[in-house]
Amino acid sequence: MTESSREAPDTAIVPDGETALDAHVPQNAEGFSGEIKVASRIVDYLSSGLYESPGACLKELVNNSYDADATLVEVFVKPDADQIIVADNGTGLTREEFERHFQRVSESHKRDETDTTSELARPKIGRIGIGMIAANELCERMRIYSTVKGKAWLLCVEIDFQAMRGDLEERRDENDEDQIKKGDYSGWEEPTDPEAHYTRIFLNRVRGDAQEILSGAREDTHTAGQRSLYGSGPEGMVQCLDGDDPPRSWTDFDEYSQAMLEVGLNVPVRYSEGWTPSPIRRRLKTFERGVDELGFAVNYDGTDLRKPIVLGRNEHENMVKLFEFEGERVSARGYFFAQRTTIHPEDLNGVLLRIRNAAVGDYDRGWLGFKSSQNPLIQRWVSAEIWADDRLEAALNIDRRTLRVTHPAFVELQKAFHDAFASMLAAARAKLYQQRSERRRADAARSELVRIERVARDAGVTLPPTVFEAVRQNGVDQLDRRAVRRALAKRSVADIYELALEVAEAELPPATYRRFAAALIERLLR
Amino acid sequence: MVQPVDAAMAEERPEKQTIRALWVECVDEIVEADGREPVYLTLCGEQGLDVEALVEQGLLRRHPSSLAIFEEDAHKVVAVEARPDAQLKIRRRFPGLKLVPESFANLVRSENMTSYPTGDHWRWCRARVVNLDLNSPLQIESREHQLVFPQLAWVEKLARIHAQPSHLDWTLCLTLAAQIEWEAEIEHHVKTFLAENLGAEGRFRETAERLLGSKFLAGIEPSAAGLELSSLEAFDQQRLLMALVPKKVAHVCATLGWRIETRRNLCYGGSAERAAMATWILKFRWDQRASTEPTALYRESAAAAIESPGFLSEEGEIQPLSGR
Repeated sequence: MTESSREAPDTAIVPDGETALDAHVPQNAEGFSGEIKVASRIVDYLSSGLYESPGACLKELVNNSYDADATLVEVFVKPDADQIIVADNGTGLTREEFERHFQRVSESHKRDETDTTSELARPKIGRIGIGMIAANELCERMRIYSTVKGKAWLLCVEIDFQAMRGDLEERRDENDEDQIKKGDYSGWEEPTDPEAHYTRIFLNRVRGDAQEILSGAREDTHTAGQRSLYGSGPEGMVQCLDGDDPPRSWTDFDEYSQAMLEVGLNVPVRYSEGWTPSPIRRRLKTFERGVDELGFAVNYDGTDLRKPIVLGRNEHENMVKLFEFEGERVSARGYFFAQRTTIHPEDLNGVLLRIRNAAVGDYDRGWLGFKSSQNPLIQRWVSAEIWADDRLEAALNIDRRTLRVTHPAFVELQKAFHDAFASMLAAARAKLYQQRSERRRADAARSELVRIERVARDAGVTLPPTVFEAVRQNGVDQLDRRAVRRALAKRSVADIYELALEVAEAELPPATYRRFAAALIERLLR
Repeated sequence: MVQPVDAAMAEERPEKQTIRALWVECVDEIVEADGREPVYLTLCGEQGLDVEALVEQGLLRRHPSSLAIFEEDAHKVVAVEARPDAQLKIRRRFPGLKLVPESFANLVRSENMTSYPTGDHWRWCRARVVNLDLNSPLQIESREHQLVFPQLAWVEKLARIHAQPSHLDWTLCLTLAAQIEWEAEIEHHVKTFLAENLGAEGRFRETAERLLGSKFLAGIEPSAAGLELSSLEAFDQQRLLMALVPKKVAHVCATLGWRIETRRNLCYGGSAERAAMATWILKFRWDQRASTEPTALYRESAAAAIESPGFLSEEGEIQPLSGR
């Protein structure tokens, strides 16, 4: 964009307070305009209701930048989200590409030529090209500035989504009733540096609820807390997510932060440094490296956004199991992480599926349909990520959040996953639950035996050293199960009474025995 | 002779650094006393050097790891910028800074006195310090046989906005290039305007003579043969502006309740390499005399405006400006 002297007066004052798009149009620029249409009623519905949150819309725009080979995407939302900027250094759009795409959205232009991006050969995330229409759920007006390397032209377009708020039938194209008008656009091209390449999207007149949510200004305390990630660096984020006072849930954060977390979870950004302790990290290095090699970064209001996945920093009893599956219809690899306690934040409990490096929805606590009655406690201790190959994409629903459970690729993956998960649960139970449980019981047994020994010693009784010697010399691990069981056996008062009388009758004279019995019951019942 | 304005280069120069320090002083004087209302409204440009100066002075805090502006401070500064590329650069430098993505003209609803901003736009216009670092020439237009000074009309609107209950004392920082496009009608009006008080107010004549020189004053008298303002050298254009602008501002604002203290009336540049510029820091103080003695208030403000003019050397030092 060309520099111009600051504050040249605008003679065209736009009634709603915005600068007119043509305030900066060069004199000899050729303008153009048109209508954005979607291919069918269904896609029209979908492109208006695909995204369950403003964060999901932002995520879509960021993934678009990824598909454009961007290595850096900047997202600016604060302080009050009345304007949102998503700017990338990707390959950009020419006017022809823009018009070809937007004049009939969802004709699958996106994967027309190739399944991978042109420069970096990344597997493209978007399929049917409705991602940019996500912006219509956030704002009334979107401005796009984009230029392609090697072309000396900057594309400048404004899209007015207000037109699409009207009745569906009124928006139907009278020449082609299969097309629904989605918005109006107008724009121009102006000369620019041919070496430049970028796309900058300015979302103006952000819609009320979206603005409140994205800025964290909404005061509904039932959906959000007070913690905030605004201003944090990557280390700060790790501390917020798993520091001395970790949140139980991402809903402990304000909605601004929840949107940030949603974006970070979904798009192909890197993991944080120290996201998991070194021993675990070494085992997961392949996955971390795979993400690093994508070379994709997002800067969110100055924060270098990373995956909000932080595991095992505060719970040292943990384990990792890798998952690898090569099937006829799908292949997948990933990991299970289990720890001794419930995973917090709870949003990381479940399995997160990724296709083409983008997450499919959130962590699934249903474990792809695994029965909840099997080791329910242990299920809450596990977090997993699975990267599936492209073949699973055929099972992906258009919302990119759910899968068709009847699709053969999904069915195959589900079976393999469930087998691995069941095995993981059993291993976690044995290592993290039973072993610790046994250790705890042995500790308790030792305490009991030490106490008995002291009582006997105080009474001047010398007992055989067998069991006690093992405790004294070798610690609790040497206690056998029988000894532990006996030491921890629960007995009632009557049991103790009977046992004592049995021994007393065998060892004492009758008169003494009777006095002992009376004194004992009195003592036991005091 | 009109020189091109080298706005970008001017930002880093010592003169500009001195001016920036003066702006920061204005903000520093009031920032602690303020509540949640905007403190500083600025046309900071893509460099945002004045905002950076506020950060350096600790008046605006940032998170060290992300450079994002503290949320608690976000209300203090409002940047106004219409150009998208500059908006992006400002956001990169100052994530979380309040940025109004439109022109200042749009923000104040142009120079039309019947149309005013509303809601948040209104609130931002009532910032305690407004910095119109315009870096462009004073615009003078002839519309329907009336001379309109659009930028000074914005100032008048700001004065009206601040005068609304409860009125807020405020400070205007204004910077203009001393390159007026003189047309005959404009020249005549300016000369008439400047001359009108010379007979009526001795103090103003005295100070005007010191600033502009007696030959100039003689040249603008109605009876004079005619000094062609378009033929003035850059240095004289600057002085003319230094007299004209605060006088004009005082003229439109006196009836609105404002007494204007001219804290600074400075010029700088004006050589082959540096565009001729003028800059002012004007403090608007609410004065009850406006309703009973507006003329006296106006004359007082106008005369005081040019009592202590100065110029900024290339090294950034403020020196008194003597007459010629």
